[in-house]
Amino acid sequence: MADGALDDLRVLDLSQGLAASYCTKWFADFGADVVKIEPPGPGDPVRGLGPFKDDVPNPDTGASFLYLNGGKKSVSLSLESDTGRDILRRLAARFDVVVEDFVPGTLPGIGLGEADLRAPNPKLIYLSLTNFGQTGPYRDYPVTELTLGAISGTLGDRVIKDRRPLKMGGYQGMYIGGRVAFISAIAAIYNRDKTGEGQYIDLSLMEAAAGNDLASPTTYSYTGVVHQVRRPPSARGRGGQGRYEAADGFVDVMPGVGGLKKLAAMLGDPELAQHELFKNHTLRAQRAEEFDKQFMEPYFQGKTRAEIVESAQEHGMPFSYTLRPAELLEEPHLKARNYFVETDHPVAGKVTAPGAPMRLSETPWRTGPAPQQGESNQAVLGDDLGLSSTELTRLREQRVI
Amino acid sequence: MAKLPLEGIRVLDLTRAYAGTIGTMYLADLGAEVIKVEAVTRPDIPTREINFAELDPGDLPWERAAYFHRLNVGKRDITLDLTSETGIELFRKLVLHCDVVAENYNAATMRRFGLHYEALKELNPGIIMASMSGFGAEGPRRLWAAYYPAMESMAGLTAITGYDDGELVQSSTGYGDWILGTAGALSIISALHYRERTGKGQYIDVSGREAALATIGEAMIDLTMNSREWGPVENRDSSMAPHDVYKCKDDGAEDRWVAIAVRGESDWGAFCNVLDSPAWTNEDRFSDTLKRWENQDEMRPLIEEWTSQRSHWEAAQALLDAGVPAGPVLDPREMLFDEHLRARDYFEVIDHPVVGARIFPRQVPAHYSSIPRQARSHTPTLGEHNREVLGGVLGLSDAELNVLEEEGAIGTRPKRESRRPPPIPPSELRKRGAVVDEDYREKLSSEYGQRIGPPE
Repeated sequence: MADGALDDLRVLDLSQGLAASYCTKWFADFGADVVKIEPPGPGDPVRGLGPFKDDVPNPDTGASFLYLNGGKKSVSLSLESDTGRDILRRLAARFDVVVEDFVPGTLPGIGLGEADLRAPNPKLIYLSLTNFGQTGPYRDYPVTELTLGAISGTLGDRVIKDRRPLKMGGYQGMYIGGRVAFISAIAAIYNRDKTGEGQYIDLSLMEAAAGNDLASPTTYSYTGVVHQVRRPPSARGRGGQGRYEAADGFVDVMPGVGGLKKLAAMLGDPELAQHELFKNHTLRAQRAEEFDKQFMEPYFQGKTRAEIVESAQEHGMPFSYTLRPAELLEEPHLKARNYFVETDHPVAGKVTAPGAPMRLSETPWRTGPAPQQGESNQAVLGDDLGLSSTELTRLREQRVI
Repeated sequence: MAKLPLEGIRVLDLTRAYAGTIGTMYLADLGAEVIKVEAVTRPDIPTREINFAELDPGDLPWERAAYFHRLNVGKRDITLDLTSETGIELFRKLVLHCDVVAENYNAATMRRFGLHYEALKELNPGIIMASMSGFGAEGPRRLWAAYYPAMESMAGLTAITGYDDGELVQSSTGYGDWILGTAGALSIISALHYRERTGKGQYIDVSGREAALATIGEAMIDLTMNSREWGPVENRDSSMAPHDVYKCKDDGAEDRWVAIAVRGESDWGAFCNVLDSPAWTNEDRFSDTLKRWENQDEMRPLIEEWTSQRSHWEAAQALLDAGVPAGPVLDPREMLFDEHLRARDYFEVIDHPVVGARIFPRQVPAHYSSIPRQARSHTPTLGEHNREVLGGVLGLSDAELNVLEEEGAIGTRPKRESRRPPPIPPSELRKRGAVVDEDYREKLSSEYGQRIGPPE
């Protein structure tokens, strides 16, 4: 068995933000040799993001850094010095992919642009993943997860009547960016397999995020509809559709295709399907309260979310319920699939993180602890690039590494 | 002309509805020949019957739906009934000529068809098969059906998205489906690379719920490292403040909003300058990052005194020019007219034989240095490529194809047409609270310099 689908690839990771780091995490998870280049001192800015272990800021225990860098190597190398930049150029000649997210113009300005690195290594894939791409009027604007959600249309597509637009939990915009960046890069790798040719890739976070839109701009061009009506999600279920209360929380009730027959069966009386409130959609909508009181509430009373959803699913209805993070660790299906992975980090200790989102039969997914800054200096710069121990010592003294 | 990255790759696509369909759309965007398999007895109804062009089902309702068109653009379409022997046999023959089979049924269906991975591998040892399901192909809940709300809520994403009053919110954009489809596409391309150097195909089992869970790694690590469980936090960030979405001058039709994120002292200084340093910015309760974070809710009305005097773009522009992260909350219409997206050629106009020219985002919006962008083919009509694929790829003769058509094994119309709802007048949608333009085709035609809408 192979070590991974991408175990023949080497990736130079110049990322400073979450999106580009998530992009290179996919490479690492699929087996590529990912070498993160960090500025000596503070290191990757993601190291500065909390939460930290015991809430004490520590470059090795930030949750984002731990999660995004499992299985990567770290080399500390200053790109502010000529020597450092020269080393980076020499390294890039030995790699397949470079991923960077600097402000447009920064790397070309210091001799590390795509032209500088691709001329000596025409097979290189050089990916720039930036807020708005390398061209266009917004090119130089700053962005955070929240403002990205706004300007990419993802917040505006989720407007709930009479409520403030709401950001999704975590860093979804950045994570979309990382996924689309990885697709763009791995497609370029496949293209290189066929043509032998490298590639420069200019990708914009705004455009990546805007593309996870269901179909809204396209729909506007079909219908003129800017916004549909959005019921507040807290609105309780009505007439056998929506959120209903079980003994330990809410269940999202969704009868789905041919659902009312299935619902009748789940409620324990298939004959109910003949009842006028089950057969007639309009009638049910008009007399929703009566329907809920007579049929839904008695069933939900005293049952747990899992019991109800289990039973609905057995009847072929896609009910679901909201799991909190702690409940996820205990969920029987995830446990049976050994989904979560525990890693033992020398500073952070044992942490549990999400594991493989997909299983490839021939090429396993893998991870490892996140690296400490510069822990692979010797392996990458010495053993691999061939710098002598005297040279490495001198570089250390000059604070280049 | 340079080829697209996946040109020459042929994908047999059994996906339906949203998630899996999104996955194969990425592949089509990158140049793969994606052959969508529907059946005249069972077309891809969930997306073929929603959001009709001009809100009118018309004579061919199944060819008029915005959702189906958006999710299947650039693919080909054939009809095969996999519940019939003929259908299965033709499918098995096609597998010999394909690189990838993609599907999003539940874990039992493909086995029931006799089209599970082991069977396909016997036919074509190099085949890559990708199953995109809610819960994955193994485990006690493998047969559970999941639409996107389930993929979000059972992945913990919903539990950390919500308002302070405890109201939890699922996406209304089908986000769970996008996560699953994207994860499917990226696995398939990685497997293609592996096959290129080893000759080996493989089976890919993608779980949408697990892919969604992979986006909240921070929450799981905080839980296991610090025993702290995340919940809904509205728009707050763990360190930035102000950090919220603020109400702007409305545009007459609906509320408008601007998102603002002040990252630290330097942003705060610039932010105060842009607001012309009103007295409240000098108050002790807002004098440093920590105090601003602790008192952020009190800043909301004060900031809105400024934003409510401005349009969302005026507010955002002033802050962005000063280097402070800000973003107008754009709606889908504004995206289509956005000067930056237009300048970067993000949207493509694609002409469809039934509904005419409409607008589609590029699913892989990357600009490659030596792979020029190419026009995508229109979303296929039902069975549009029956003859081309079954004749061209499998070599069936016209006579054989005619027989299949006469038997009803293939075709270009659904066997049973569902009832046609009457067109919905925009006034009716407005009554229900929707925001609808009636001059959208004129506006778009003028912006895109060509006729948008049905052929004359």
